[in-house]
Order: sequence, then C-alpha cells, then structure tokens
Amino acid sequence: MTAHRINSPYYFSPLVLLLGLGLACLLTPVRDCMAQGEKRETVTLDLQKATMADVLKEVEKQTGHRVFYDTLDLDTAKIDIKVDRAPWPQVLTRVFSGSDLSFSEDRHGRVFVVKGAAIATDLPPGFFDKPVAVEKGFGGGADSIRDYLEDAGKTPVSTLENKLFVIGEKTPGPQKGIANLAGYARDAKTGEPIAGASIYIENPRIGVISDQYGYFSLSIPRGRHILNIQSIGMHDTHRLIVVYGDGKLNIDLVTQVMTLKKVIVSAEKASNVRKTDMGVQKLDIKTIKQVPVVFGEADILRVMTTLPGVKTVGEASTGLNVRGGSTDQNLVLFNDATIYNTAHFFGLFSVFNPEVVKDVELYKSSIPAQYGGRLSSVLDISSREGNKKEYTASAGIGLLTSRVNIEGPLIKDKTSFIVGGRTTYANWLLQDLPAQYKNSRASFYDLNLNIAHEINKKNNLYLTGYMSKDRFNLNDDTTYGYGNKNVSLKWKHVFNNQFYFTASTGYDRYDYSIQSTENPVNAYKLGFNINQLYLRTNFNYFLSSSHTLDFGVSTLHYKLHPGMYTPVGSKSLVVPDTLQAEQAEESAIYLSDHYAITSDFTIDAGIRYSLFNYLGPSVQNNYAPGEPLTTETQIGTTTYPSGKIIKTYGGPEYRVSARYVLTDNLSLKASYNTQRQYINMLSNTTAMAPTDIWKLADPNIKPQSGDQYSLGAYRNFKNNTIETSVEVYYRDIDNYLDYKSGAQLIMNHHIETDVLETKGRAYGVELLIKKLTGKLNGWISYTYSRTELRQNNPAEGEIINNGSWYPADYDKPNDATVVGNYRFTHRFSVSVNATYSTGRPITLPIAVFEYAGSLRTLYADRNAYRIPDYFRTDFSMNIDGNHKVHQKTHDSWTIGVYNLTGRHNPYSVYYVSENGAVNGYKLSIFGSAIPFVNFNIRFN
Amino acid sequence: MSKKRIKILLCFFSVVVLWRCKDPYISPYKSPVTGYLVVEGYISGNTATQFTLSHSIELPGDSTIPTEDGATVQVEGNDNTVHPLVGQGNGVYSSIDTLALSPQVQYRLRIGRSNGEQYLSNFVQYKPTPPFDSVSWVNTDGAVQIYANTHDPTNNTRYYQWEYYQTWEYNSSEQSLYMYVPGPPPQVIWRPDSLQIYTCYQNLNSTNLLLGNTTKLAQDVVYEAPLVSIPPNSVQISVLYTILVKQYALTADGYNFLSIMQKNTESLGSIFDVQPSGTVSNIQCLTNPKEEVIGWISAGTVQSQRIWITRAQVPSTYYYECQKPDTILGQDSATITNDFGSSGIFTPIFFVAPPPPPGEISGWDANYSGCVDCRLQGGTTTKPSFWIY
Repeated sequence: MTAHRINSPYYFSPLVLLLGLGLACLLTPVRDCMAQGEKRETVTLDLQKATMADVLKEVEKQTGHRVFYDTLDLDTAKIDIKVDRAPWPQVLTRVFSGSDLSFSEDRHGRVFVVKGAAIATDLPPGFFDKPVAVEKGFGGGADSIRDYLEDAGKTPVSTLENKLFVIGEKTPGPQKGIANLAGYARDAKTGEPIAGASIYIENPRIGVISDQYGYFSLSIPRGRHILNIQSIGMHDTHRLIVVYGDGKLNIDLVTQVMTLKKVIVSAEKASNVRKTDMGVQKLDIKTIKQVPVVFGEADILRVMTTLPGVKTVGEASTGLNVRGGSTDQNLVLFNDATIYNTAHFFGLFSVFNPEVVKDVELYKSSIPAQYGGRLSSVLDISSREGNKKEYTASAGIGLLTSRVNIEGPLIKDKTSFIVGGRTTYANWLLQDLPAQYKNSRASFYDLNLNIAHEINKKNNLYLTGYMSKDRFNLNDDTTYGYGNKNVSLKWKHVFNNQFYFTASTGYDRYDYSIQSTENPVNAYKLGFNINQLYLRTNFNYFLSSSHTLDFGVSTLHYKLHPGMYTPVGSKSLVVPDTLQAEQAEESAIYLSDHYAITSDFTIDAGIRYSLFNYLGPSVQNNYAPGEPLTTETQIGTTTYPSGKIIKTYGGPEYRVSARYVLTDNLSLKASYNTQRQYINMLSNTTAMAPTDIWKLADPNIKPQSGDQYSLGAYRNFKNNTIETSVEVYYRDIDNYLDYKSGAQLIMNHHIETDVLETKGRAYGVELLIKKLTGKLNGWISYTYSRTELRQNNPAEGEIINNGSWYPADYDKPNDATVVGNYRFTHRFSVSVNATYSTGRPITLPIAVFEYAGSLRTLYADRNAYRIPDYFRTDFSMNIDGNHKVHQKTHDSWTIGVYNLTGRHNPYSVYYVSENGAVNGYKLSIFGSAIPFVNFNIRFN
Repeated sequence: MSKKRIKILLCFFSVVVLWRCKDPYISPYKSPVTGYLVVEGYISGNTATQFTLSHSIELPGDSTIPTEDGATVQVEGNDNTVHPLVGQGNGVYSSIDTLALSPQVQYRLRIGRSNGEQYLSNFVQYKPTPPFDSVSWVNTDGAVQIYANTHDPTNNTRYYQWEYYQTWEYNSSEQSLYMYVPGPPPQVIWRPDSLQIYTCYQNLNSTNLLLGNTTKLAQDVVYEAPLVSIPPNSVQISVLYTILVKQYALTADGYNFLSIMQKNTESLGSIFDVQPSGTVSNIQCLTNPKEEVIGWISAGTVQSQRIWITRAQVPSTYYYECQKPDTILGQDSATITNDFGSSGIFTPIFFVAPPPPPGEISGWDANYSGCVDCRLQGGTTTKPSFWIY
C-alpha cells in the first residue's frame, strides 16, 4: 500500500486522535469497550454500492474488532465487494487501495483507520530495547514515526480539505490515462469568482491558472492526487481527489484575514517564473489601493505607471506610454468595453472607480492573439461581480470625490449585481487657483452597473454598463464636456470540461463637445463622437495536458463623426459644418496554441489575421500620385455609395512566446509579436487632451503597424516570495503619425494634408524586483528606454529635424520607482512611493526676435532639449477600524501626503511673450506637498 | 460617523491646497548664434509703406536687438514696377509718399544687405482691407473692454489682423505752481505753462498679435473681436483716453504664419499645450538658401479708427494717492539747493507767505517729486499732435 503523506497544516494529528479516542472509549459504555473478547480474523462480505463506512461496520460486526475512524476521512465512492472468509486486514487493504487511508491494530485488537501514515500503536521498536513485530501491509514501521509535535494542538479547520472527492465514475482496477477536471474557484464568502488562482498537482507537476470567471480546466493522470489551490489574498487550500474520469469540482477559497501570521511559502503563487507569457503585469485592487496617490483617490492608471516600461508625460495625464508607444496605442478594455478617454478632471484622476474594479492586467509584450487593434499594449480591467450571498454597501469620502457602491444578490447564489457611482465637488479647490483660472469650473461623475447571472451550471451571463461624464471650463465661457458610454453583454457557455466559449457583444461610445456662447455672432458648438458595435467570440479548448487551444472570430463596426460645428442661438452667423462620418469594419480571426513540450519548455504560438474595410458613403480626396499630400496636389474627389468598400487593409499578426525553465526558480522567456492599428488619435498636445480626435485609417492615411522582440530572465528568491525579472525589448513602428508644423487637426476636411507618416523605433531594458507577501511588500522598478521617430521622406512634404531620428514627446530614458508598504498591525500600515525619471523632451526656442511690438521666440528642431528631471515621494497611512467580523459597519481611513518633499516638479517649461518681453517659466502641476484624507465605510 | 469624526473631516477640508505653480525658468542650454534677418512691415496702397529690418538674438533675449541699416529695400510688382524705400535709421525703411499700387498686381519685397546678401519674398496678393464698422467698448463694473467690428459685404477678406496705439492723459497728485532753477543764484520761480508737470500723456502699443477670422461664418462679419481690456479705475481712463486701431487684411497663408507665431509665443503655459513648431516665412535668402529669414510680407490697404473715452463716461474713481502730506521747506538757498536741486527729492508746489496761518510756518509747500511730477510715472508733458482737447 502506498501511503500518501499529507503535510498540510490542518493535518489531523494522530496523537490527538489517539487521545480523543481514548477519551471516547472512557465515555462509551463499558460493555462496548469490552465487547471484544472473541475476535475472528476473517470476514465474508457481499456488498454492492456500499460505502467504506458500510464495509468497516460489517468488518467490526463480524470480527469483533472495534474499528475507529472518522467518517469525514472516508471515500464517498460506492464500492462493490465480495469476499469469502478473507482475512480482515486483506479486505481493508483492498478497500483502502487507491486511497491514502491506512490502518493499524493495537495490542487490544482495536483497529484505527486514519489518513496518511498509520498510527503507531506501539512505541517505536527499540524504545525499550525490546523488538516489536511489525506486520507487513499494516501501518507502522519505522518510516511512519513522525514528529507530530509540530502540528499538535491543531484542530481541523476545513473539513473539505480532509474529504476525498471522487472525480468521474469509479472504476475498479488500476487507473491509467488522462482525465479532465474542471470547475470554478470562488470566494467562499461572497461567491465571486477568483481569477488567477493557481490550481495544480505536484506529481507530475501539472497546473493551471483560473481565468477571469474563476474557471479552470486541468488534464491530469487518473488516480489519487492532492489538488493545491493558491491565490493571492486567499488562504491556500487543497483537495484530496481521486480521478476516475472527467469531472467537475468547484472550490471555495477563504479570504486571508490574518495577513501577518506568517509568510505562506508557495510554489505557484508567484508564478512569473513558470508562466509562459512575458511582459504581463497583473495587480489586484488591494495592491493598487495601498499605493499613495494624489488626493488619496486609488487610481489604477497611476499605479500602472509605477511598473517598468509604463510612463506618463506628467501629473495631468492618465495617458500611458507603454514601451515607447503613444497613448493611443493602448487598448483599454473594461469588461470587454473599449474606453477611449481614461481621464477625469484634467487628467488628475482616471475614470475607473476603484471600488468596482477587481484587478488590472497589462500586456506589454506577449499580447494574446484574441486581442488586437493597438500597437503597444492591452490594459484589461475586470470589474467585480458583486456579492452573491448578501447585500453590502460601501461609501467613501475624500477631499475631492465621494463614492457609493451597493452590491448583493438578485437571486441568491445565482445572480448578483454591483452598482457604483463617483462624483466630485472640486470647485472649491479651483477657487484657490491663480487669478487667471479663478473662474474655472470642473466636475465629473461615473457610474457602473454589473450584473452576473448563472443560468445553469453550463451557462453564465454578464452584463456591464458604464458611463462617465466630465465638464469643465478654463476661466472663459468655453465649456468642454466629454464622456464614455459602454454597455456589454457576455455569454459564457461550457460545452464540456475541456471546451468552453464566450461570446460578447456591446456598444461603446466616446463623445466630446465644446461650446462657446459669449460672442453671439460667433456662438458655436463643436461635437465629436466615436461609436462602435462589436461581437467577439472566444473558444477555449483544453485539447490535452500539453495543448490548450484558443480560437475565435471578432468583428467591430466603427462609426465616427469627426466633427460637427454648429451655430448656437439665433444671432450666430456660424455656418453649420459637418465633417463626413467615417465608417469601417474591423474583423479578425485567430488561433493560438499553448503547447507544453515538456514541463520545462512551453510555447505559446498564435496567429491573428485582421482585416479592415473602410466603408462608404464617403467622398474621398484624391491626390496626384507621387506628390506630397497638400491642398495644391489635390486632384478632385471620388464619391462612394453607402456600404461600398473603399479601401481594405489587413494581414497576419504573429504572437509567439516561449518559456524555458532552467531551475525551479529561474526561467528564460522570449517573445515576438506583430500588431496592426487601424484607428489613430490625432493630437499635437503632449498630454492627452479632451479635444483629441480619433481618425480611422483611410485611403490616404495608412494604418500603423509594428513588431516587438523581447527577451527576459526571471528569477525568484526566498521560496518565491521575491520575484525578479529582467526584460529587454526592441520595437519597430511603421506609419506612426506626426504632424506638420502648425497642423490644423480640428474641423479639417483634408486632415491627410496635415499629418506625416513617420517611422518609430523603441528599445529598452526593464528591471523589476517585487515582493507581494509579508509585512513588507512592494516593488522596485527601473527602466532604461528610448523612443525615437524619423521623418526623412521628402515625398511627405516636410522633413522633420533634417531627417534624423528625434526623441518622441514621451521619451524618458531613465525611470525608477519604489513602491513599499509596511504593515505594522492588521489595522495599520504605511505606504511610501518614490519615483524618479529623466525629464521629457521639449522643443525650446533657439533665438529671440522682435515682431508685432514684442520680443518673440523662434523654434527649430523638435524635442531637441529636455525639461528638468522629475522626482516625487508620496506617503500614506492606512488605518482600518476594528476587524470584528459581525458588526454592521467597517470603516477605514487613508491619510497621506502627496509630493512629500514639496518639490516643484516640472510639467513643462516654456517661454512666453508678455508685455513685450520674453519670459521663461517652469510649470508645475503641484507646487507644494498635498495632504489628503479619505474615509471609507462598508455596510453589511 | 460620529460628530467628532465629522469635525476632523471638516478640518482637513479646510486645508488650503495650493497647486499649479509657475517658477521662473532659465534654460541651462546654450542657444546657438543665429542673427537671422527679421522683416516686418506691410506693403500698403493707402498709407506710407514701411518695413523694419532687424536680427534675432540669443536667449534669454535681454540684449539689444540689432537693426539692419544701409540696406536697399524695394517693393516690386509683377507688372515690373519698382518702388524703392528709403532708410530712416534704426532699421526702418519707408516710402516717402503712399505707393501707387494696383489691386490687380501682385507685389514682392527685395532686400539687398550691405554685406551682399540678397533676399526676395514671394509675390503676394494685394488685398484691400474693408473699413471698420466701429471700434466699440463695453464697461463691465468699471473694466473697459475694447472691440473691433468690421464686415466685408463681398465676403472676401476673411482674415484680419489688428494693431492698436493707446494714448492717455493723466495728472499728478498735486499741481506744482513753482519750479527750481539752478541759477546762479539757485532760486524758486513761477512755473510757466510750457513747463507744467501736472498733465502728462503716455503711450502703450499692442504687444500681442491680434488676429481674427470669419471662415466659419456665413457672412464675413467680425463682431466684437477683443483688442484690449483696461482694468477698473486705472490711470488710463483717469482723464482722457484714446485708442487708434489699425486693421489689415491678410491672406490665409499670412494668417497661418502669424497664427503659428501667436501659438508659439503667446499661448503656451497651459496643461494642454500645443507643441511649438517652426514657421516658414514667405521671404528667402537668395545668396544662402539655408539661412532662415523671419517674416511674412503682405500687401493691401490699411484701415484705421480712433475712439476717445473720458473719465466721466466710465466713470472712474482713480486718484494718484500721495503717500505723504505736504511739507513746508525753508527758503534759504542751501535748503532749496539740497531738496529741490541736486537731490530732486522734493518739488515746490506753492508758497506759504508770511505771516503763516496759525499753527503753520511760512516757506515752500512741497512734496515728493513722484507726487507732483507726472513725468515720473512714465509719460511726457508733450501733447500729442492728434490731441483734440
């Protein structure tokens, strides 16, 4: 018999069992304890569909041996057994075969059935220098003597961990071959799915990570296994399983409240060494909330900028520059919905409500084949599903914003909802601005609604609604407004254990408007919007333990209104002017295979074919062939009817990544990917502005394309509690758009004459040291990177910087960040965040001249200089109320200081002509240390 | 939340948060030596044509702008007419009379520098400027905003530029009736009207590029294009104020050139700044095509309009407050030499003749010169030729 050793902390200590049994024996009527005078050693059984307990009872009855066991330990499977006068140890050996139960008999003929090593009913041989016979096949024996003191005193916490789960129909005989186990990992308290949980068996080493629905599917050899389940923030657990065939197992995980007790050492928790994908950063909302940010408002995008390879041009911008990409090269998905503008309040906040977000995943080098349409990265933000068990609410009050969230079950354990809203009352702050901004006003809000519904075990529906709105004016009567509106519906269907699919459909909209009515003759309103309707399917097929296939098709219909300029009021002489609507269809088909060649060598290979059709109705400007696109070289127009395919772009995109594990905690990864982007943001401001417009590729503007090579080494230390990684990358970008001098981007009927197609290149090294467990946690990141552009093609009409490479606006070569959190107690922790980066490039004047009554500055080469370096330190304290579980409200405070040193970090430097003279200024968004306080309360 | 917590919260709310600040910036970079030729002016068919030639200097722009004198400058028409301009010094070249130009002809500017470098502009369209409808002003709580209004019934002008020349009369705090003369002997004499220092005139010309277009409007109408704003109760409208506004029609390219210059030099400093960019002039160096030249040559007519605003029209409460009450100074020659003469700290106002009024002494009633001499506020006592009162 092969006795599996279980080294779980919850292991049922045999010593305790013995004591307990002894006590039980004392309390049981004497005649029972003594009714063991005559004992027969054989049994005759003829049982069908009997449980182990039935068999044990029968053995007890027939032999007179008292059998002690815990019913929770016993296998739930039904067995058929037929024996005639067989020795009882033989029968038990047979019944327990394939389980980890073992038994032993003491000198009084009592039989103890326990899990794992059999109970030593005698002191070890030689203890009293007296040999003790150990029967073969029975428990006991030298190797079964263990030091149980380690676990002594522990009582079983989770009975589920000691129970044996049978997967599939029980079949007699040896179990060979592979079977599939699938199920969901959920939070035991709220019923919400747990994404990213690691589910694995040790021998052979096979593991899988649960997906965003908490779903996992694992192909493992038939037989008995310990299934380990680990997830950050949850108690590690395991399930004893015996696999006879394909089957299902759902696992409930318990939130880890006792974060200080000890560092849970785990093999998979920090699995960056073992994962195939590279350049992927995942942060859960708990980690995000620890990082101090301005005004104490937890901000997903700000925290992303602390990661290597992710930058932003300054404080007033939530636009991310990932590995030298521009801000429009990131696909920002919020539960499948594309968010076009991620900024609230001049870019000081991001549009994502931290109370609704579950986690954020950033793909910056190996982008899965199911995603496409942007060159640099995919930022996948998942929202929480809402509590499936009970109603809860939370509220937060900060200096600038307040938020309320309500969640709960619509149908208990089946349907849950979460509703969240945020708004600002920031106008009081704007009154303290310098006089020129005194009459500024700004407000925003955002609303979230998520509904998750389980139709049945195989079908789930998810509905997401999102809306954000911003309005502001900067000291004059010009009012700016913009907003996102998104709704998506996703259906998940499980065909069988190995095969499931999701289909999602939805509508995304981004719009802005600018209105000015002060001058009645010029009163106008300018409007812009993007609308897109999409359908995406994704099939996930666990072909075998070494192959997992992902494939699907998607289609996306764009409709853009690039500009509507209309009069306001009866006195306005403004001529209504509308840029013609743009429409296009972007479709893709993809297939990718996760191929585990050996357990150490894994390849993810994918191909995506994307196709973009620019559709009529449209009137397209034609230009003389071979000439630069200018208004002078335009030679007429062509009119296309509705639905006519005007121009098609497309091609294959390759996504390959490979991982080779050198040792248990060291691996190498490489990846190559190509991307195509058919929609560009047109902006000649450095920061993402609310007036930036988006433009589809069309006959005159080619789509951007790019490829990226990256290589990385990953090493974990101290039992995987410290992750380190080094990644290098090189990127090429084609048809990146830059702008001619003085380009007119708004309400331009021939925008192609104002843009330039440039080439881009980016390269860099990213270092990361991360510790996400223990009292002290956080990360240190450093990036060296360059991003350069070049326009040396005279056919474009204008050569920039004499055709040599020039740095992009967001080229910040050195960038280092330290994020640290120290938990003093369960209720009190302190976070510090420090960041340094090279100043971004800027175009500075080269000379001064006099014109129109004033000295003025002359500009020449783009981005030839840099603003001063950036350095900032933030500090915050998180104070939780008491942790009593059964109280009506739980509250917490966050108090901190942003920009602790009060350094005037430059946002930009500029020269301006004032009263005839030229003055140079350094503009800082924050001119002092900014204290903040946030109060959060949760209601049950 | 308990009451105590609300209190704490309010306390934090009241923390004044200062954000966004501007510090002076001095570029650590050495700017290259440029010395590019800067050409500014307008080929005018209804006033004297005038161009100014100067050179660009290094950052931060605190040295004197060098002017280009001794050059030959002429306006050429594509009908082969040549109109030479005459150097006036200080880099200024102008026509003696109004040039006889024709709306059907295109014009260009040719410059020959004394060092032999030759410059030539593109031919530009002669674009007549429509007259003003009015130069109007609006008084909002004492602040006066001045606007330009015009229209072109043919809808052809579309692009406009304005310049203004402000002049105002103002008074010092006290009127001096006497003046010091060094002599010998040094003495205080009756101040003649011609040397009065109570009423001064000051000029201030536009330093911003004032541009406007009507391309998005159904009619070529400029309504209340803002020119200049005068703060409430300021010295400008303390007595009498006048503004002369000049209006120029521009071509689309000329407008774009100035618009980029405006964005590069006047509109920076916001969060969403447009990147400054290079400008391309319509005048080039023939002898060294790589040499940059700054300026845009336009041709057409100039319209001008002057309006007057009196103190009573606003009305204003402006008064130049003297910090000190008058003081009586002795009549001895040492006192008048020290206080009125060499130091010039004091200026005599009137004479307190003996016997003095009760509680006073006799002598020169005087005050600090800054309170008495209006020229010390920056103006001159010379009445401009166009002054109507």
